Amino acid sequence: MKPLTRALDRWFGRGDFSVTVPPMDGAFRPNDRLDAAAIALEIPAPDALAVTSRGLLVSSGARLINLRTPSDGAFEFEAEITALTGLPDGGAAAALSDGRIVFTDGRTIPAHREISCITALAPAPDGALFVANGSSAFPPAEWTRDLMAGKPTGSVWRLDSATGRATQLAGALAYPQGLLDEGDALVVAESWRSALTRITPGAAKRPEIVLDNLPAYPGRLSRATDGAVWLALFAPRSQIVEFVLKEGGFRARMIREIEPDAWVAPSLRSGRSPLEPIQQGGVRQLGVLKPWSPSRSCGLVARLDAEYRPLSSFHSRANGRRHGVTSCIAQGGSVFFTAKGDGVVASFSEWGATP
Amino acid sequence: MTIGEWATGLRYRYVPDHVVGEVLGRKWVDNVVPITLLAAVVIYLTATIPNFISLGNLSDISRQIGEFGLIVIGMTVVMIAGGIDLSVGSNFALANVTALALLNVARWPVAASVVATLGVGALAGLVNGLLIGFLKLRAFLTTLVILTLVRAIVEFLLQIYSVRIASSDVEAPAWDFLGAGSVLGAPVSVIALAAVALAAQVALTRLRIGWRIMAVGGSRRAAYNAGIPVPATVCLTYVVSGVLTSLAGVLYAARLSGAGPDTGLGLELNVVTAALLGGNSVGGGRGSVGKALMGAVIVSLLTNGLVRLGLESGASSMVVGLVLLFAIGIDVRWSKWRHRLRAKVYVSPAYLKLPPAPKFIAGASSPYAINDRLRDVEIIGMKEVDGPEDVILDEDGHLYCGVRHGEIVRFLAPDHVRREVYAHVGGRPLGMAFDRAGALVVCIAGMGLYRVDRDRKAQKLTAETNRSPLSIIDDSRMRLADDLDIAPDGKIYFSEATVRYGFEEWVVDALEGRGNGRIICYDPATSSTRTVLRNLLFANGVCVAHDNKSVLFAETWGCRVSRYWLEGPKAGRVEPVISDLPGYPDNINRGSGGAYWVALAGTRTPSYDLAMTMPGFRRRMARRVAADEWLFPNVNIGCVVHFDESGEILETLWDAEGENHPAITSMREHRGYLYLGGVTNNRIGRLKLADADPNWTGPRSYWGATP
Repeated sequence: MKPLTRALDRWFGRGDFSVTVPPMDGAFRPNDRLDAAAIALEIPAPDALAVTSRGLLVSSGARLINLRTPSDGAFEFEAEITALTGLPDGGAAAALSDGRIVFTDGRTIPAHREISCITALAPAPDGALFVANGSSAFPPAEWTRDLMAGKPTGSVWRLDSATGRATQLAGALAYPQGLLDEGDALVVAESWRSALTRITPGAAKRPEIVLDNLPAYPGRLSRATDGAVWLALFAPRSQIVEFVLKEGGFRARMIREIEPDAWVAPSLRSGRSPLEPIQQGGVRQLGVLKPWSPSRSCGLVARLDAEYRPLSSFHSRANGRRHGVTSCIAQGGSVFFTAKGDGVVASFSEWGATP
Repeated sequence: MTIGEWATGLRYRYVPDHVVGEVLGRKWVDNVVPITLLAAVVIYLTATIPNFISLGNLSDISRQIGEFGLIVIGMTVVMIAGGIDLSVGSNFALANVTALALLNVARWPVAASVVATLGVGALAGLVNGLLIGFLKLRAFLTTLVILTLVRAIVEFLLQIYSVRIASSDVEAPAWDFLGAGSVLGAPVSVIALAAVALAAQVALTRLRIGWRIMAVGGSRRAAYNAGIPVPATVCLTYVVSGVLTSLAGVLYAARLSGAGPDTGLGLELNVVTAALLGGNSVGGGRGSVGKALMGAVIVSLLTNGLVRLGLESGASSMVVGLVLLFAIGIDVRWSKWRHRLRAKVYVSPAYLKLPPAPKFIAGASSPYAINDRLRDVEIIGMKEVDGPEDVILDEDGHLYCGVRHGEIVRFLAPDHVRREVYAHVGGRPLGMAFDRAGALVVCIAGMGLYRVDRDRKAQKLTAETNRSPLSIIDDSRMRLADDLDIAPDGKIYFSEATVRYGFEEWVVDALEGRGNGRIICYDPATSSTRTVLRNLLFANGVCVAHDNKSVLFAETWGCRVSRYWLEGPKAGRVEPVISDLPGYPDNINRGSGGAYWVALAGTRTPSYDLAMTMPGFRRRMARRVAADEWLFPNVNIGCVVHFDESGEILETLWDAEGENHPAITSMREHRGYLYLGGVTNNRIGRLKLADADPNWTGPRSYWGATP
């Protein structure tokens, strides 16, 4: 009976096959706190943040900027920076879109054949690096393509910075984009699964889900000194996108015939182009775009406790101006975040965050 | 185009999905179940019983049907009012024995006997009616008790009269005619049934009493609140049932001339079965004479056929019982299923492939390239108007717009700061035009075409047009009159955007993308209305050309402007003017220098264009995704296109950010300025036009120097 009812449900799109998205409720109740955050820097597409001994670094395209001394100019690489992490020695490591990993002290790990889409880095205690490889098929800039392709091809690696030897810790991940080292295990933010999963290297255990049913796609993770975990969620899940993900025919033609910018897909900043899809509830009424109107982009930062339970969240809603938060990090009592969609690095007080 | 897409196109062109939802919305669809059942019963019995359709058998059955049908009609009337009459079985027997006793024992004349019997029936019904209608006793229990009581009376009477009835030999040709005669081949009972059915049908559907009965059954409390005398109405239905039952009893008596204890035994079950099976609701408010007749025929054929099949009488009752169960099930489920199913299938997207969109992003080389010319407009009536779909200016420069509250608001010249409600017309005023006398003619969604004269009195011009011959929904009534224009001979050409949805649901029509719209012409000389063009993709803007020889009209979902020729060699023909707009055209209006303006309410987006070629995708989206999340044309951007008589684009004005004027639905040129309105906006815009004729006004363009 079960297979039959499942087949029927699939046909009618109900039960397990209905198109639903977790509501923004509980710890995710909407507010405007990201819009109220103080601007630290306005640069195009700020992406990753890292704490170093010389200050907070932020990446913007191929440039690396120190937030403490932004006027001093930036360090510019030959390729776009796709991930960044601070190291225990006070330095930092940056992954480039060509696959290389560059350290601030001058060392470089050459590109690895199987790691072409580095979305996150985290230092391992022994000096090695944990690397999240978002997808085996697409570079980081084409993340919507990876979502629409619908195959989990991401992986997490351990990279020996001295020898350059790479060991795969887990595969078949749905776009891992955040990494947090727990000592004996690693917590990964799997964007397309809307979940955080725990990987235990060496153990035969399968990845264990520590938090799922997130209302938005989780991105980079960082840990504050008090043990709290800060999670950047870079785009909201929406019913229409989940529906399109179930509609193979439409998706195939969309990928084939339409420019990615005009896809029905999540975005770091929506509403910029007249070619973008729009939804019925997203129509401007009487000169106002309602904050609760459906949007393909939003700004969202969540504070989780040490057990990864969501405690509170910080939003920029449909009508907000801090969309597409790709990373957030706590430093010196403040939480800095990069609103990549709107070109802003801003900060709010960590203590105000306690619910 | 791939083969698959081609097949999709064909499939959606020739399979009219939308008909299913429309059929389910009609009242007559309730009759589908009994008709199917009737056909099935007839086919089965004809196939299994030899000579079932023979003349002798038919005339025999038809006499029974005549009597039975009368009782079922009575029961139906009671049921429509929300009651039930179980006493029909013994009332029938009472009428039988009364008629025979009066005629044979008391030796009354035939007419007097019949009238007296009907009186006895009415009396029995009145007892029911008084108890149920006025004392508010339960219909089921009360009539059950009356059933038993009357049965006791019948048995009492039989003890006294049965022998004398059987032994008498009264000669009465009229009486024999009632029982065995026929008129033009139809038995008397069938004639009686036809006459009663006709009268009941007229009474139920056309007379006040019928409407009252329907209303009481539909909702007792609402009927009471509406001032209907509920007790009397209920009481009356039982009297009707009693009279019709006794009439049937008289005919039965005349046919068989026998009074036995088993007359009418168990009849009430068959009658209730028939009434329910025909589709009458046991809860009241829904039912008709036609349904009663169908149910009567089905049950009669079935019982008759079962006897002829040689079933034991117990088995026959069992079949009737099972059919009753089925009928009750259908009664409860059908109306729920119908509405649920209709809600699911009414929205039926069609295949719509638009020509490739022109490039219109900023910097593109096409005349549609996005600019910011509308960003710095002067604002009129900020936050004072709610959705000025259309704006219009009179010769004195006063600015009029229709707003969502059903009002026409006027901003006074010269600065358009002071504001007044010009007229309250109700509905949702949309397109407007001035006629020769200076009166404002308005299309009002939900109401039709209205005229507001200079004394501000609103008057309906038309709300109905000729009905399309094959349409299932009633498309004679206008649901979404949208924009209009007036020809020099006074004829008003106006668009109805869609015949399938009202104004609040126009977005669903966007999702369907079918040609649901039309252009209608109203001729004030003859006060006649007729549909000129059908199957338009959301017929919207209408504008009589400068030379008055043709009418320009916009089809919103088709992203095109076309011309309908009124005179000349091409009269009556339609030809394209602009067929590759980058967005969704709304109102069209005249401009100076022989040019025109068309408002684009939004831009085409590649994803929506793709979805329009995938009807299945849109249908599933409509069912599975919340309406707020549906894909939609991008109406957060505003655009006005200036074009000439040949459809050549002169210029395009955009509000790229949609800050002031997203979704522009209308614009009017007036003395060198352009005024902008939007159906979802809270302001009116005013823009100085660089090279426009500073003396040109709309009214003068139509009606000359002095209005």
